[in-house]
Amino acid sequence: MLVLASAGCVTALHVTTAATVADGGVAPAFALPAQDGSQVSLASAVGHGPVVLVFYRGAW
Amino acid sequence: MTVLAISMDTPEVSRGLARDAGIEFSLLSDEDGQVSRTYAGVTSDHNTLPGVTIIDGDGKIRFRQVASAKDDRMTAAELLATLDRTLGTTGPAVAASDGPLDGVQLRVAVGGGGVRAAGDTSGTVVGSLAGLVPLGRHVLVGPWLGVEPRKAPLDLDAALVVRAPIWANAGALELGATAGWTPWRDAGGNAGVHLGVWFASSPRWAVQLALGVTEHGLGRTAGSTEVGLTFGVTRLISLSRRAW
Repeated sequence: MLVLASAGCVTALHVTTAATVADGGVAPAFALPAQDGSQVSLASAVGHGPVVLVFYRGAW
Repeated sequence: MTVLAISMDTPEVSRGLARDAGIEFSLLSDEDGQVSRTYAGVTSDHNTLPGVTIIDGDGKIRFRQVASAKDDRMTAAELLATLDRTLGTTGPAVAASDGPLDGVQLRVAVGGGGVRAAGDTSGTVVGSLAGLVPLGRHVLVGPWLGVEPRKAPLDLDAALVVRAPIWANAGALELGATAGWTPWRDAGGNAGVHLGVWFASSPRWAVQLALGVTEHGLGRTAGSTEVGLTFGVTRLISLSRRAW
């Protein structure tokens, strides 16, 4: 019942996700603006060691 | 190690969040959702799914978690433990994250059974609503409302549950006792016991099956005895701080 409820929730929201990202694969490159206005690229961050990407949304 | 937090907020909103929360790591703005879509997923209301991706120093993805709901997010302790496990590092000790046995429980259960009064037995519906606070791994206490429409519509009880953890602390065998007051029909004191099995299907939800017997009208000449088998759902509430 709970599984169906949560599955229904996701279906209703039409989640779209790329199937190209997988464990062990090369992380797709990106560059995004930070809060201080600077442009931050994944490549430059990886140059300093491991990177943790945390995806969050405004409310939660 | 670098932490990059990514949302679909504008840089101005991120600046406000960083200021208000004292955040010193980068809050990146993925306003069109392209990066979120690639790594985590985007909902039709144009918002990213929360999640964590760990990338090693060679630029390869070593771990990826996507939370489909608010409660699926990792705690700070879980994230730190995952980093150590994934990257082979050993960080400082952190407080263990709450497991299912540590949560405050809000329970609702319904079922069927029989009630015997004055020599007659009839089928009935039984139910309960409870809030249980853990006192360690083996004891829960809290208020308990019992429902049985024929003889004892409402029991106002206190419950004491003793449990034995099983299934690597994801479940428990329980022996519970309830006692209290029934305001009408078979009014008077009530007392009951139940035997159950409880299983956490996620960090926030659990299910339980219980067989219980409750005696009503204690201290009176006429009373009733209720036997019921119930199935219920537990909402687990963790009081520990979330990762974000």
